[in-house]
Amino acid sequence: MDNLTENGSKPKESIVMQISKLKQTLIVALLSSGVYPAMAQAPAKEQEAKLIAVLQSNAEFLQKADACRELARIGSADCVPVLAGLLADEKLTHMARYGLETVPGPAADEALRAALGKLKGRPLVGVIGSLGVRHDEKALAALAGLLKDGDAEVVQAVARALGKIGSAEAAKPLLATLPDVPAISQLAVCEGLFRCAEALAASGQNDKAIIIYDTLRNLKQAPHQVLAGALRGAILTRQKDGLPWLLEALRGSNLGLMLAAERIAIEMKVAEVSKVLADELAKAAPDRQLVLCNVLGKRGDATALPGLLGLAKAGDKAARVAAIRAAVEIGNAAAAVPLTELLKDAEGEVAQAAAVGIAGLPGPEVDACVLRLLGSGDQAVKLKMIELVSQRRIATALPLLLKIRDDKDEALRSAAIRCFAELASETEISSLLERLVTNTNAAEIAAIEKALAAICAASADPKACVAKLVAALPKAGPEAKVALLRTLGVAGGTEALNAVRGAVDDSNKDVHTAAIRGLCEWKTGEAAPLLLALAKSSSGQVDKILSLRGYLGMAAKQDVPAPQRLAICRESASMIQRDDEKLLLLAALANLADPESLNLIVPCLDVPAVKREAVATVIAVAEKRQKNHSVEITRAALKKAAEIVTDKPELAKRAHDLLQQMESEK
Amino acid sequence: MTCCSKWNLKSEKFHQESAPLPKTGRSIVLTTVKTHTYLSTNIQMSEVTQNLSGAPLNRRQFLTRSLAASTAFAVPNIIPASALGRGGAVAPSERIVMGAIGLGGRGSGDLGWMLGEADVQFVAVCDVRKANREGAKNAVDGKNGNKDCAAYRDMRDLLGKHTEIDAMLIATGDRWHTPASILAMQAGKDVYCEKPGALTIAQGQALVAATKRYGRVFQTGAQRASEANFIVAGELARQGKLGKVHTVYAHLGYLPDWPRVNAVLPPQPEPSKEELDWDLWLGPAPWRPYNPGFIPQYPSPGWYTQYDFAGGIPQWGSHTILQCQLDLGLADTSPVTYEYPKDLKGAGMTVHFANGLKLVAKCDGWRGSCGVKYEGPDGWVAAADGYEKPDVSSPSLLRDSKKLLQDYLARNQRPLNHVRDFLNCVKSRRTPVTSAEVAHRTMTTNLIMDICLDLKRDLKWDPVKQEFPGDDEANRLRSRAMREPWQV
Repeated sequence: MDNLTENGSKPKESIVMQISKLKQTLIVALLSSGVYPAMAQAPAKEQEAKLIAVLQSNAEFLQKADACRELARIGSADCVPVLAGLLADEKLTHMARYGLETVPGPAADEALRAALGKLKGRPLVGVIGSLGVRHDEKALAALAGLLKDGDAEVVQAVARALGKIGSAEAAKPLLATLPDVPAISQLAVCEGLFRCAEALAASGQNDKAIIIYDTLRNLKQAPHQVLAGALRGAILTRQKDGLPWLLEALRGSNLGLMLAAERIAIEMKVAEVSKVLADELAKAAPDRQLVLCNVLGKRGDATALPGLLGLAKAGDKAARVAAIRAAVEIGNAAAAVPLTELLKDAEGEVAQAAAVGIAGLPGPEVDACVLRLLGSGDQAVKLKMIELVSQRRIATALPLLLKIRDDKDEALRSAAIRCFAELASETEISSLLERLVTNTNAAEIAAIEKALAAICAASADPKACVAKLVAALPKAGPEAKVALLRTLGVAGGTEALNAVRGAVDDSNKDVHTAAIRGLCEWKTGEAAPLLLALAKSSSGQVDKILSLRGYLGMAAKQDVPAPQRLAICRESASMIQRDDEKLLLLAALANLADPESLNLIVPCLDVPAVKREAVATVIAVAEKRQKNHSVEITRAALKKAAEIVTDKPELAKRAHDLLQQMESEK
Repeated sequence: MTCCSKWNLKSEKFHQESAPLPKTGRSIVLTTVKTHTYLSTNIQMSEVTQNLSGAPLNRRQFLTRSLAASTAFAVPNIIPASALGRGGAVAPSERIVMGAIGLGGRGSGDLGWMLGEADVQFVAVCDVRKANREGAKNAVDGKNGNKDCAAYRDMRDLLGKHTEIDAMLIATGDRWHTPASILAMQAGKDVYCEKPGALTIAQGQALVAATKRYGRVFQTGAQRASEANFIVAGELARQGKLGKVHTVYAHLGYLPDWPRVNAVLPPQPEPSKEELDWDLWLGPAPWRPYNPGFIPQYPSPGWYTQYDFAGGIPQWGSHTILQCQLDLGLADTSPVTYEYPKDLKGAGMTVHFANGLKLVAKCDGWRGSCGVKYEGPDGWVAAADGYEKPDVSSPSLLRDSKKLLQDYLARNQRPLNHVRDFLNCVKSRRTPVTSAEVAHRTMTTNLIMDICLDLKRDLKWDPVKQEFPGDDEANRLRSRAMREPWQV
């Protein structure tokens, strides 16, 4: 499907919009005929008679085609003669079959069969195909006779039709012709035989299906896909007895067959396959071990685990890694302990595969194994286990991690704190805060802050979280306070906002700055009045600028109503002194598309440092103009914009185009 | 049965002759392909040499597998060029050789996606339109740094001549998806085909059968099945985080009006076959006089809106209904009841699966395009194009989203890249996430919804027998006769 409809637009609207253009250019006579038109409401017999009458009339081609299409749904034996009469009509032959193919009862079969002897070329090819679709056993003899036809398309159509009929009798002429069939039609004959074999196997005639598959397997000069398909059929039909063929192909050097066998082994439901292939693992060369691991992993049968885990211990490196992956893919917790024994393997890739594997193994037994090693292993193992605890999100590890976070080994301590922070939930907030308030280690503070932020963001009761954070503020050192202020921003809400505002007055400079930044980055417009007040009252220039910028930023918040956003812009405009903030103001106004915004933009047209951006903003607002826009103000702003932006011709052109457009709208 | 069998034509009976089984573990004389093109080449005696069993795979196979194996769970998005020792390029013998059919808007996009994969080499393209053909050839030649990409008008020529091709990209108009895919698989190619997978239920059945018959790898281009947000949404449902999911919603972005139309446009002179081969463009669809208005996908009356060329519900449902069924573990079946809707474009259309799950396909009420939403007693999740993360009923549902995604990828050994998933499966012979069976079963849902709307009444479906029980009128709509000489 074309991605034109996946771009988020509404294609229906574009269709409607563009139909008018098409009408102008194509002079479309859109007699859009319903596939099931109004007459479908009439009783079926009456309706059928009308459709037959259409076919017997001098109606146009498309009307007759529509009648055939409708007869495919409701036609009975009554319509067969007239449809059959169209089979020789090169233009309507397809639609005649379209109607006939679904008509119930023997009349349609007989009509199609009768046409075999009268038609040639494509119409004949079509009729042969339809007899196949209808599984017409009575057509077998006539079809078989056409297998020697000089027209390759006819031969191929017959081969496929016999395949669709799919009986033992249908297979016989195909088998007979197979040795001598011209190369151009060989694939079609094979296809027919495959279909017969499938139908025979589906009806319990496995012995006959096997004969066909074996014949195809032994076909000389056969395309690889035929040999692969025949191997598949021969093995799957034989079930357990086909295993020797499977092994032979997997061991062999014919790569086409080996790949086929690989897929068959994945597909095969027979339970013994996994055991046989697992036994083969130890004997196979490394490249075949990779293939076997791929199959065994996908089969997901735990009986293969011992073999795979044995291979994982020793042998070719790539094969060992593949064995680990396969063992993990089987998804049995029994693999956990053996894999932990590989964590210190001399081959780094093997150790890494084992670690990744344990992370992905499902089951509480695996968690227990990880916890056991976390409590008893050496430093290297513990570090690895902490990583696994984090990846597996083993919440029951929290008490152990609490112990380790006081370990004298800094690497362990740090890892434990990071991991604890990742796993902690709302019940651990107090514990995290306790650890945070007196902490001065930057990495630990960052980890705890990250954890607190994640907990607050996912909390169903953010107010409760905020209460705990606010209560911790007075006890916190400056570094921790900064972290808490940022976390309050994540949590949000009025209480959090008030706490951050309170910290603006903190005597510590870092805390003070963090509080102002927190207000500036507040995720809702609730902070706007506080920022305005700070922008007006702050004694420090930096604070003033930061607050003003934060205030202007509120004009971009989607939760702030448009009138309030305009009010923010208006208020800010009177306070702005620097060009940087003027640019921020223009950016906010460009999105508002409010007529009054032009009054705020026009003065900027006279400021050299921002005039180009001001012109762009005038154009943006004018382009989005609505009926309530003052035409005079807009026109004046555009004229001025066009005049002063001589160094940017594309902007000038847009302004002129808009002016012209406005003229034409008068 | 431990015997080989032969057909006794003279007696016209089956009988079996005893023959020795291949003995396991012994050295036997077998053939080895010299070149790397074994995936598709008709292996001729002149191309092979005698060798002993147990010989190693050729370098292409071994190296590719070794690299994949050594990357632990992360199936590599590309084969690391450094490991191949070629400083940025993948050795020619390690590449998947590809061809492409149908290179309009979507096809050229897919082609660009695949050309970005280091181990893919396109050698031939095909389109019935000259402009598309030449544009694709230029893109391929640009990547290959030569002028060698062959360009064809007729897909049969490409498939017949290029035995070295391993896999095909097919991105034709919908009317060609199944016939072209089956032709390619009969020619021994693996196939990545754009959605919808089929125009009729019978076509879908034929697609599944051909995939199995020739042991081919098939992926339908439902790329959201390989995108993180959709996977996380699916995992929340699969892992029971929402409770037992009772209702799922699928976005229907575009719908034609019912009854569906075959517009009648004034005939115009056909372009030259070289410029645009109208007969091949129509392919298996009913013939109609040429008019350029049918050529683009849309605006109306482009092929997108025509009964003969495309489905109605499948326009969007092949994205979203597929995703719902895949995520709910129902991609091997189809709903059993279909309610004829009173307000299709408002309240939408409701279908029910045998396990009680309700699927509502609707146009309205979505944020973003191609969305799905899953509801259970413990919460809901929704995903659509453009989401930063899935929408959820409670933020806590996303607390472990990273692990959910990681575990899914590890469990299924899959990359977050739909095309890459296909290419990996071409090498591993595994089944891609949106296989022919997934395409067929989910398209069956879509197509039955179309039939329900065409017939203006409720329908029942038996997903095992793949028929409408006791409903001859509906059963007749499971297939449409294809224009000669095309068959599936």
